[in-house]
Amino acid sequence: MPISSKKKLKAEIWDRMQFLFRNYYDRMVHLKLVYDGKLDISVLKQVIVYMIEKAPVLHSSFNTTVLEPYWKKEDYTIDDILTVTETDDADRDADVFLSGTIPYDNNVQMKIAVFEQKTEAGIKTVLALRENHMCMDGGDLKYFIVTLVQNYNRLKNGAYGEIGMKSGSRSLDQIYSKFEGDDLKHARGLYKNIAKSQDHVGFPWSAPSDSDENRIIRREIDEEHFAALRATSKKLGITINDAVMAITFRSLYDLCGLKDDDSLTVSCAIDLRKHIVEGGAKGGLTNHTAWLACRTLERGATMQDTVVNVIRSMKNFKRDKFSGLYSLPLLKLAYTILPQDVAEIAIKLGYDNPLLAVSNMGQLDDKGMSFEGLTLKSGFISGATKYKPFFLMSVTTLLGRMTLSTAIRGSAPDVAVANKYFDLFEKYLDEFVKI
Amino acid sequence: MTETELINLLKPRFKAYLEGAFRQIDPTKAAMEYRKQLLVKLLDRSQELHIRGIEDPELIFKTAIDELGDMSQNLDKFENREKNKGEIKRKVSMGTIIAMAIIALFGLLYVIAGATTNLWHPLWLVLLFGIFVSATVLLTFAGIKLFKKHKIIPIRIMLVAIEVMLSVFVFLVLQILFNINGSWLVFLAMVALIFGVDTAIAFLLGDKTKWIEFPIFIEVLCVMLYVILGIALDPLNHVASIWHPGWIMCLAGVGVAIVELIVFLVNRARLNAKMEEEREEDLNQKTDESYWTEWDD
Repeated sequence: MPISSKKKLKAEIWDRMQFLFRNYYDRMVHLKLVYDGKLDISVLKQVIVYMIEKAPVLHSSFNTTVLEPYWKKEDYTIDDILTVTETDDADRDADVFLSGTIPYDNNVQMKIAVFEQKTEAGIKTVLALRENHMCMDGGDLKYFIVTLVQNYNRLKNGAYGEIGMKSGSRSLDQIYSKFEGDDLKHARGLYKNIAKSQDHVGFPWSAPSDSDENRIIRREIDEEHFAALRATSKKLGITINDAVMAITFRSLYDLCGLKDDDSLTVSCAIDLRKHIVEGGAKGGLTNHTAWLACRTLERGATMQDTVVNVIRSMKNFKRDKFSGLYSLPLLKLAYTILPQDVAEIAIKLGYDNPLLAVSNMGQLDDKGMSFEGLTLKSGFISGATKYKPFFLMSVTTLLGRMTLSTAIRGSAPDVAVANKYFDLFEKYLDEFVKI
Repeated sequence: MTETELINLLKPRFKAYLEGAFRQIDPTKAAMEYRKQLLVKLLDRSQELHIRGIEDPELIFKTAIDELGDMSQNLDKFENREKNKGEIKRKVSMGTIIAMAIIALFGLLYVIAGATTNLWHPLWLVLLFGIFVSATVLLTFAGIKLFKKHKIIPIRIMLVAIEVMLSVFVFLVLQILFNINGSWLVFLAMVALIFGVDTAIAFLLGDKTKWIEFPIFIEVLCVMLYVILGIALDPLNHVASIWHPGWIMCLAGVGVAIVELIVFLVNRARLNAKMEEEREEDLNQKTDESYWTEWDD
């Protein structure tokens, strides 16, 4: 039965940028959570519908026109979003589910699958979710999943008054909400294009072939190693992200066969919500992510040297109160004054998608993601499935373990090269914790 | 020792050191900002030294401070730099004063001459001349400032502005004072002038674009010359006309470009030949050496 009436929604700048990125990746953000216990599917269905209704973009299709694209609210049923399957291998089936995509002109932009597997201890439940990056980024997906779990728990307890979800503007302009006066004027005038990369080192993926398919390759860093990483970072006065970046650089120098004095750029995702009043809690689900190009001019003889090189680069961004805001006025101008098709061509000419990138989405809230009556065992969020030659390593931490993942449209040799990279990462992680 | 403990230990000492050192210069806002920058630099360096393995806070303090060099000299240099910045600002304000004075002078001249001769028209050209001259003075002062910062493109744009003003003035004089038919041709000449001056600057600065600009300038010059002469001589059609075969002039730029291309290709071929020769020599030397040193195992 139809649930909503049809209505147009504005396609925001980031929606359109993510649409442009269809040339580089499949636009899907992936989430997987593993639990011991069985979900109350009836409650889950109601909560999902409630939340999808609160975020109309999630039940809209993206429509392109020559002049300006727009979202169109579509009719849907819960079955378009949620599937529940009993299986003998929930992990395997969830991974297969996550490798799927959602066309941008689909009636819903999020798919959730629950896989239930009988084990000796009872029921193992895997919740897998994929959503269109054009609707929201990893930052808001973290919010979405915690809110979904909390709303589920509240509905189960009849706490109707506490059920809720943020909704509001999805506009890019929110990122200026903390600025005022000269700073605001300056931020809105940052037309400089910083999206042109100085280095062109790529990940050694194999050549594209017909056997390529969407894959998520991941590696979990256990509690002991992650605790050591955190302790060493604290000792050195750097963030975990700095440490991850340093280890990534050292691993990539090896993997990509670079000389010690070669320069290397690895882009690092930055959450622009730090520029928004209350961290975007009043806005709708959307994208607020930009990239910073972390660059080192040499490998460094030791791990310590690499750490120093990386933090030197990262400090430039950390000390810049406008970090992440460069080029955005230019982007806005292009999408405002040019028709969609022309704007896409113009932006593509001026934009280099990062060949190597890291997106550290940080700590996932284990308590917030615990359904009542179920025990959270593991989970991760992974970015979009990249097309070669692009490489993105997603990083999330849950229950004291850090999951590294890379999603690639590739073949068996690509799985091998990604695993080789993770081996190097672990090797240099061991070196790092010995500093 | 963690980085936080180290910073807690060293930060007050760095601050005390910098506070003492900065007392030798005037307590200006710029000096305060510089002092804060140096503290950040010292703390960054301390962290780097700590990461690289120095645990002794005293050694870290000493190394970081030593790396600042002679603070007394640094601060002298800083003060001089600040003074120079002030001088540049004064030069700019001096430029403004001179420009205003020129306008006032020509304004006065205009009023006096106008009042005594009652020829307000066309004497207003004197006032306009004054305005153009003062604008040129302002642009020149700004140009000097930009030149010191090696910002050449804005200077080139400024020169275009000066050339446009000059052309407008010449046109007005020719048209209003001398009532010359076809005074507007000045604007055609202006286009060639703009390209000519910019090409000359490219050559003076050794800009890479000079060999691209040169044939364009020649082409523009010849086309403009062709049009100007064609129009100027048109009324004398029965006596002289340049339209045909004068159009051949328009090929001059293409001709220059072709000559440049030939010269470029010849030079490159020569260079390649020379490199090849050197490579052969090098290879022969290496091969000869291998006769003595190379083994099969």
